[in-house]
Amino acid sequence: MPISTKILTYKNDLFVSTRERVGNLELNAGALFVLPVLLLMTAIIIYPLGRTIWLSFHRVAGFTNEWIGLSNYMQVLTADWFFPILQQTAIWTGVTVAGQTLLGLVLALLLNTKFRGRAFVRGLMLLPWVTPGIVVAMIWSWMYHPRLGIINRILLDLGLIQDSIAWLAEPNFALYAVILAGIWKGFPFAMVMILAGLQDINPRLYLAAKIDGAPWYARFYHITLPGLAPVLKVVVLLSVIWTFNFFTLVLVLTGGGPAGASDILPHKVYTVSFAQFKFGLGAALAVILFLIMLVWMAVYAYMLRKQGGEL
Amino acid sequence: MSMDASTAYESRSIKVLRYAIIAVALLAVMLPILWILVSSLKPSDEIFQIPPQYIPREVTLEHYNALFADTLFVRYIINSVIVATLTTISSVTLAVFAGYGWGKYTFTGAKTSSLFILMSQLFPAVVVIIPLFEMLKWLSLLNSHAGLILAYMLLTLPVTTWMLKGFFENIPDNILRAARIDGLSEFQIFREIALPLVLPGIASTAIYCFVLAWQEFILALTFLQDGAKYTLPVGLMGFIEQNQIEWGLLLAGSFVTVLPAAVTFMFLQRYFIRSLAGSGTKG
Repeated sequence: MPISTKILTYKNDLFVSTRERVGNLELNAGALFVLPVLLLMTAIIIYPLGRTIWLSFHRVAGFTNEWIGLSNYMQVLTADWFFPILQQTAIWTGVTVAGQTLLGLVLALLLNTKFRGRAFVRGLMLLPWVTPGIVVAMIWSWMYHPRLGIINRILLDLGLIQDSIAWLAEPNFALYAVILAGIWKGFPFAMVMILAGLQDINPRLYLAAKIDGAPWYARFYHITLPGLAPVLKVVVLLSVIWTFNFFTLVLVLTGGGPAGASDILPHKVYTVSFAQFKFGLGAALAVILFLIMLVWMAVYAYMLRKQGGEL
Repeated sequence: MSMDASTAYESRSIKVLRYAIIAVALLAVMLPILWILVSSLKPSDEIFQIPPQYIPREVTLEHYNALFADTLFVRYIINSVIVATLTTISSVTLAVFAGYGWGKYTFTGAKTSSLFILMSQLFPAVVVIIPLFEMLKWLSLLNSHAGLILAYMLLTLPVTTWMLKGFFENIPDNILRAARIDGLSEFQIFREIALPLVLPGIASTAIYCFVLAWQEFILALTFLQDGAKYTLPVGLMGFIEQNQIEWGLLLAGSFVTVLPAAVTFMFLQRYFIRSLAGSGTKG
């Protein structure tokens, strides 16, 4: 079964067992088996989500919560940092996902060819992905170090820069420096998914194209890319959501700085809540983040349906 | 095989070129990890030498010694192992039941509720971090491993449930039907027939779950306040927050943190890639 359909379509293989009807409900042992997870997930998602929404309409101070209507939202929407952060979040998500997918695609095509030690190389290529986010942050802040970093050393040796650059302290570079680390961390996911997708393409198509004399780029454009479309859709959907929410790198590498130049929405939710202890404001920001996520999923589902894709 | 089709007519020079590109790509991808390994083996004065040297003149394990002797690092490792192990056990135990229920039964709301679980995998944890904080405080579980493990259910249950659901779905219905005709109870069928058939699936789900918990940083940072309870990622962060960044310790500690996951994956990558590609999951 192609991996894409496995996640996108609900596989409905019904195992009908001794059924019992309670009113209109059809219940059996299956309902009992899923009950603990369902209850627990409700307790740690539905209730907290409701609570966040509730908090977003309140001023939270100590033990008293004062209803203040939409004030928190007004404060967010009129803050001078809000729209720059939205823009930076879009750049962070878009460029990181594009980079991960592109790099993943190129490496998957390379690793899909035959060579000695392929399994070993594939395993090594996965390392960034199993490297904890905090360690990724440590690794890159060491490499970006203005005086002690290897990146400045290499660029100086190659003559590409004249002076060391404080990558994480320059407003123009900070966000892109974090993005590069994010691409490195996340590309193996795209690579693995695309590698698996390549196995689903009928090799006879390539053979036929070769016999017809189609050059490699034509084979890529007319066979590989359409064949990978279902996988790429899943990769983009999931990567966008994960990247959008992933702020460990920002937190550790730049702390959102300099002067907010590399701040992104989830990191702002976190700092407003747990550095400034403005829980109400943080909750309002969290609700906005959640709505953006929902809109993205809805738009994505709509676009796929328009193309006749499945979701 | 597609790779045969794509490489069958390759000339010798193209082959050399392809090997060269793969080697360069591998080196570029590995460079960051290699660089912290190399740096962590340098003596302190070389770590702080400007400009940095590519090859250490002298190789030393002093930072690794200091890490294990002078810091709480061993404590952090133990904490991380405890938290990740208990998270894995709790999450996989619950998910085995749920995966079976959703994978092999149909009941009112089965489809909707299983989609809820799938979608919750995409749920931004930061949205509920304040209420979770309150909840743990209310349960007196703030600053405890038990509380952290409870919060980790949010991250791990959706994935583990969904993976195991997939494994149970692969069991042919006829086997279970036959057991039912033989008079086994629903729970006996689950325990004696279905469960043994998905043991390999449980293993790979458990590994995945362990890695997720091992990597987690934000929730641990938020919910743990006492240094002796820190997990590895929070402990590492502690080396930065002191006035002077302890680069030697940080580099050595980073490498030690990557190592277990790296070794596990080198051995299990083939197996793991298959189950990852099958479930579309990511940490």
